[in-house]
Amino acid sequence: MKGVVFTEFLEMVEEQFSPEVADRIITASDLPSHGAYTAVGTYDHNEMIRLVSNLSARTGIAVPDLLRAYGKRLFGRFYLTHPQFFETASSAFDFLKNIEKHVHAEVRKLYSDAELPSFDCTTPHPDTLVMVYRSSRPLADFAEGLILGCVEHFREPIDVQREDLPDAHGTAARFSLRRRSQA
Amino acid sequence: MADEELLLRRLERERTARKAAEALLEEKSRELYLANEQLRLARDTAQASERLKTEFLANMSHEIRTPMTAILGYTELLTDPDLGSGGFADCLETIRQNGEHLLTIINDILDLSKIEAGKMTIERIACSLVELVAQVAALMRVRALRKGLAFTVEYVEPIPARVQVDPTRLRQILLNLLGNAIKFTEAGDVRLRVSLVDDEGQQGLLRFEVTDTGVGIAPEAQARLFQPFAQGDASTTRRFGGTGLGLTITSRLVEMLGGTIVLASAPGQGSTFTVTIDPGPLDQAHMLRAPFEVRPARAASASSAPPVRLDGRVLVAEDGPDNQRLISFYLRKAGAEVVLAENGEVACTRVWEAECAGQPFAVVLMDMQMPVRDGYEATATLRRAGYRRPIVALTAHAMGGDREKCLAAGCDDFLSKPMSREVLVGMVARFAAAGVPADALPPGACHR
Repeated sequence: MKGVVFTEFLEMVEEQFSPEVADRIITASDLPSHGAYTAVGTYDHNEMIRLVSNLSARTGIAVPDLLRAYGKRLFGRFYLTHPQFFETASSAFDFLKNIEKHVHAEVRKLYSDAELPSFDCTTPHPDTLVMVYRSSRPLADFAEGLILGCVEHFREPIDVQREDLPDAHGTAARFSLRRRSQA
Repeated sequence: MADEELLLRRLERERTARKAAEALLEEKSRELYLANEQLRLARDTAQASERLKTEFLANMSHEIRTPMTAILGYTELLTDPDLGSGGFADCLETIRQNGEHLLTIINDILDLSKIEAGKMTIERIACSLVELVAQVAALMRVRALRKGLAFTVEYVEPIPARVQVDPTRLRQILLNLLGNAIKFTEAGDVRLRVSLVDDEGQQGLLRFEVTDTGVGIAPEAQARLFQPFAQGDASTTRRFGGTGLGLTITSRLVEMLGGTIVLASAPGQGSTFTVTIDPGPLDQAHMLRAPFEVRPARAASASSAPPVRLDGRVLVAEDGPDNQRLISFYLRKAGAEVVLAENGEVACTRVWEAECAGQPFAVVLMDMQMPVRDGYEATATLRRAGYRRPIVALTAHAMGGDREKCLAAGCDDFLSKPMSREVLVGMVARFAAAGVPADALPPGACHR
């Protein structure tokens, strides 16, 4: 997993909770990296799962809620750090449909070893976008947070429905996005 | 105190992370540098090859224009009223020589481009080494004797009775090296030495040494000798003729046969080219010692053979008026009755007309590239309709595979243009003499 996901996570913990909480969960997680992350590095995704679990234990907030909240926040940060990806997208559907083509393609240019999830998009109706998330990691909650962050960013009236795919244990989910007609 | 410890831990994490980032940066920079080096190398190679191609083209153009100038110039000279009969004959001889030289250049260029494009295939066929060498020697001996040079073939015994090589390519290599040796030697002798040399306990390698007592080659010229168009010195072409491609082709062929070619030479002291190739699996029980029994190789001496006479009708399907005239002239002179067809469609009509009139063609000469209906289609149409008399393809496509294409269309044989009078008439005579099958047409074909 790319280091930026860790550095942004720890920054969020420091801001939303405190530097002390961040330090505690790092210590409690007993990480191979000792929590010394650089955005350009690559780390085992299990470190993220341990950090989130320990944050949950410490704060009493459920893991899925933490991952969703983090996904939403990361999307906002993403807009600040990589504005070029937003230049051609005029709507949430636009942006989400082109994740593979634009965002993941760019990631692969920099990190040929990156293990990226896939988002298969279909548009059964002009106001509906169905995204099927598949990953080697159980991070459907995190993906949901990112999608919600995107919808929030474009300030569009879109409902997001999530359906976990059978036996996936968080590694695959279908997200149905429906644009509400604006009367 | 607790705050201070927290800060220290954070500091330590930040420091470790920074060092990891720096190490990554260094690694990526190195990768980038190496990738750039590879790109630079690829670019330089591409540029060098582009330059070589341009030079090749310029040289080719020069090599073609030189004989072309002579051909066109002397043709114009023929119309000069002041030209005596001796001058007339001289002009014609010059035109013929330059035409032949032009053909050699074109064949060499085709060979070389085929090799460079990786289109030349090498086969391994069991053949008699002594016979192959004897064939080459028979051709070269005539040329050497004409120049007053001694010509010898020496075998270091014992040599294998049969070898597994590509006989066509090996012959081409030997003809080229011996041809060069004769060309660049004014007095003395040219020798070919054939031996089986030790290969560090392996079964042995076949070695051919071509030695002459000719002009020799300066050390600085030896290095570029195998490069296209780079003869010993710039004036070589004018003094000795040649395309400047022979040794390039030879060395590439040797390479393709998995062998090596080495040159030992000094100016004024003659040269020795040594070619070593893999003879393929050898039968150690069949090693030969002199004297060898060789089936006499027929020396190609056209002038001594009596002229071939033709009788019967020949259809010449050919769209070029000049070639129509030339081919008709050759065939009529040899005694044939010639009917012309300017395209494949007309050719088919003429064939049926002749059959129905009871005056069939002994041979159809079929140009393959013609308007309306080409030779491939016309031949295939005739064959499909049951026509069984000989059809010989005549084509200016002389690349590998063209022959197979003609045969696949239904032709019995293949002649590539330009063809000599002797070869053309000989080919027609061969098919005409084979006789006409009584049932060359299916029953009822004339009543359609």
